[in-house]
Amino acid sequence: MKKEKLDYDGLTAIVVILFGMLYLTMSLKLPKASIGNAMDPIYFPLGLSIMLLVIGALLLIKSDKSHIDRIFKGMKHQTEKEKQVTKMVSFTCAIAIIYGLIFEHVGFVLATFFFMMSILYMTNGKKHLTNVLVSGIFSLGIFALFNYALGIPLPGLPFM
Amino acid sequence: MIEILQNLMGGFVIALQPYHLLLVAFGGILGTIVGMLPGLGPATGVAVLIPITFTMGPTAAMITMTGIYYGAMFGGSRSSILINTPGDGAALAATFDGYPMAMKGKAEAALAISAIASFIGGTIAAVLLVLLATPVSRFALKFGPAEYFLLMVAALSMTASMSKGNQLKGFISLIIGLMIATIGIDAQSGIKRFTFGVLELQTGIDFLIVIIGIYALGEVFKSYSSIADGTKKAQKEFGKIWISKEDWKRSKWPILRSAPLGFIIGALPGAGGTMASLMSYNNEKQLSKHPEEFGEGAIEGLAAPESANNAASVGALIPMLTLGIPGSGTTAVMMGALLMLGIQPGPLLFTQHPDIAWPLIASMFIGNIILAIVNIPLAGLLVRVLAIPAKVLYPIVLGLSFVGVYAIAGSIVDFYLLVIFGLAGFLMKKVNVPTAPMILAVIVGNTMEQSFRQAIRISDGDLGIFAGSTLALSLIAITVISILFPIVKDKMMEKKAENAPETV
Amino acid sequence: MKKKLMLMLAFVLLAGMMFTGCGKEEAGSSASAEAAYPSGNLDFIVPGGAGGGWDLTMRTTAKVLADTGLVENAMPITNKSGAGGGVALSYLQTINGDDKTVVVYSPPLLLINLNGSTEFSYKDTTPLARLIADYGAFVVTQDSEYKSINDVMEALKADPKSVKIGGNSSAGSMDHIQFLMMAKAAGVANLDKIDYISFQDGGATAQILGGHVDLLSTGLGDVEALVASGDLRVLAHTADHRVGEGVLAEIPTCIEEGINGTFVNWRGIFGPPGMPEYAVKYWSETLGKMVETPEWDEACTKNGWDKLYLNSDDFASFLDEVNGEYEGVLKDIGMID
Repeated sequence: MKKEKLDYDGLTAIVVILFGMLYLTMSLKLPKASIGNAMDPIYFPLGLSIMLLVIGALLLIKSDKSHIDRIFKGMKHQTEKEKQVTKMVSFTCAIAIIYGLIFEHVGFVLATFFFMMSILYMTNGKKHLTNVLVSGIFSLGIFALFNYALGIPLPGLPFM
Repeated sequence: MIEILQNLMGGFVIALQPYHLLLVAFGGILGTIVGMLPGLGPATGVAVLIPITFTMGPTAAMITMTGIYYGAMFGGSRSSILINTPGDGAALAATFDGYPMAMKGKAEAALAISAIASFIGGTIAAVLLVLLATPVSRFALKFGPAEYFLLMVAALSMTASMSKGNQLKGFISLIIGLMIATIGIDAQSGIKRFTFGVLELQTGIDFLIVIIGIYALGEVFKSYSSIADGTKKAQKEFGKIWISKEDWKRSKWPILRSAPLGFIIGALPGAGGTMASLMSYNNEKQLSKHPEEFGEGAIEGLAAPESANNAASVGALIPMLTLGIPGSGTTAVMMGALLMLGIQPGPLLFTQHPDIAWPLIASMFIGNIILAIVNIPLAGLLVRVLAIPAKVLYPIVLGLSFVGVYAIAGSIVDFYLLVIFGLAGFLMKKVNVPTAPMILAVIVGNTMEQSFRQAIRISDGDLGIFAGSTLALSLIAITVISILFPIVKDKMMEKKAENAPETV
Repeated sequence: MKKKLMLMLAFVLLAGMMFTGCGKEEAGSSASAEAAYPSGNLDFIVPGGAGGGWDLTMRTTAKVLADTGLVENAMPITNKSGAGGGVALSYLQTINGDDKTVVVYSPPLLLINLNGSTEFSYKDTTPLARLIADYGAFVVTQDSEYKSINDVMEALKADPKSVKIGGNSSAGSMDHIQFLMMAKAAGVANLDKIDYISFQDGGATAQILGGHVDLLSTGLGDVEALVASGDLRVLAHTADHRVGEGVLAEIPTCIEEGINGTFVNWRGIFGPPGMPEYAVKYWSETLGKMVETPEWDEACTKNGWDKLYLNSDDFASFLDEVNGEYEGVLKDIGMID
């Protein structure tokens, strides 16, 4: 089954306009400067948001709006592959956030070993030996390289 | 002139001592390794060396640092070509055509031309440094805030041509990049902008995080779709690391043209290798007879920025050596090391410490040769990375990205930013918004705004300052030409195309 | 596939819980730790990037401590840059009571709190010793119309916009404040009208050389080479006595020029808040011994630093005093109320 090629211009334009409005509101709320002209730090962000809004509007006018609707419909009928990619991307982001949360508590080696294992089990499947080897060598090797060869201390193991 | 040659010869005599040769080679290899890791650039490599230099003595220390500096410049593009992950900003342009070349099975030629172009660019720049260091440093001083602003505008206007046929979305990317650059403490007023109470955001978002997020993570996410349906394509056979005659013919002039350009841009404090390589890339794209091949694996699109970025790294030494002003992050670290060794770089360096200055320059030439020799077999080894199946390689790329980002400032907040920019890169590719304008905007955005306001404050609000010098006017002219040239060229191409059938 | 994902998720959660659970380190400070202090690695933190003034100070200190055998433990140096030192400062708060982390700081430690960049202040650290000082220098080009610091001040009194001051730190930080403190002492009104232009990445020196600003406010040590070569002239510096040797010794102080003000760019070593008493004593004494060594003397001469040691207690009261001074200037220009 071949999917028709959709252009995302309309959708992009809408997202860009929303973002531009958000940035505009935040720019207007910036504190006034006490040194020099009070508005100085605000002009540039203000100009940027107006430009973004104008370009967003132009893109919206030029785009084929019927695609927006079709993209949303398409989302409901995603192919297996698309669904899986979305899942893999979300999973990676979730793991990365956990990685960040535990990094300074359990140290680089353990956190990285966990991170690499999780990602490898996702991409490489249940090849236990490869996964353990790659994760282990990577986390220990990079730790040694940074700590001893490069002199960039990474958080070490807990209890040490 | 004779005196310069004599001094340089004296420098060579010292630099060619076996001990010093060994140090250059050691520094070069260490630098190449550091340069390949995403997030780690020459600055880190040189910083690593500082404790070792205590035991070395100033001449040996400087020679080793030069080796590292060069090695990192050579190494930075290895990862750009092989895994689409620039080691540092200066290696960004190497992804544009280097990675497509690797995808088309031409990784060997890509790695070879990158080493060759780096070698030639670095050598030309070293010659220019010997001959022109003082006049170039005086020229760089002519750049006041107004000129810096115009230079940044020129650089940004060039990216407009990079997104041909897609201009609106190119502009969107550009503006969002500039918006990202406004995050942090505004230096002219001291107020915080868009920091959301996050301490780590006060110094702004390091452009390396944006680059690694958009390129490395974006690439990994993209690769998931081929991992999902099992169409992994690991390269099995590898050829010799060399280029064909045809490749050389196409790359020759771009390499030669980009070296002086990179050298000059590099000599401007604060401009640096990233801008030099991007400008030379745009230059070659506009001059090329087949611009449509750029971005699809055109060898000159890799050769030009590689030559420019190595030339820029040599140029960046000028403000440090002749004025004692560090013009880049790396030279700042080198200067710190020199100070710890009790040497004060500045106008008197060459008269007070010729025993350090000249061997340093001589070791640039030697370092270049050694690195070119070392890099060709090393590339033969590195190219095997492509033999690793995607489902193992990409997790490693992810791991490297995170540790690289951590090394920038030792901050976990940067992990989360990396994820955000990775997602942004993935989505931008999906909806066909070009990413290069955004990255350049992140790099130059803050300087551009600050320079504008500095100029206005100096002139008490008079906009005339932007046309107040010959240099400013020339920069305006360059900007106008860079905008008009592609349009005129298109028109001429169209005419040619119309006339062509008639002549048959 | 779904099963696989669930399995992975379970693994992840389990692992995450396990790791965070066992991650809580006991901050043990038993009597035995005290007796054997210091043991194991000591953490030296630089709140800025490699190559900067803090970095140079910390690395030199570590080197002298090691060379003289005063400290035999490993002293790995970590750069925790960001927010003008604020990131490292908030890191210190997370290791309250730790006994083996030390960090280098200078006036920005006070300024980033006063100007509101961070909620933490020097009161949230343990001052251990003041080591060295650099001083503010007011620099013009060789052919500048300003021959003395008083020429500059007179011009500013007549028209606060007439002299454009450049510096490397952002508005409201060191290069800006040190000039305003002298201007205030010289009797210039309208401090908030004076144009200060902030340049990034050390670019201000190039800007004064190119003649794009009229006066550069910077550190005395930063311009030594260009003064020696005759490219730049220092009108005055902010110490209360002549410093250095050679060209530097010829530069008058502001006091000599009739401006009764000083500004010290001090650099000192701090511990995290709540640092145990035995550790404070150890560092105050060890650093006190260090500054007496010939190795330290040599390092100071090389870097153009003025030796200015204060022990832990005196340093703390010194900080209280200068904090009040900085606050006064920032109030005058309206950056804080």
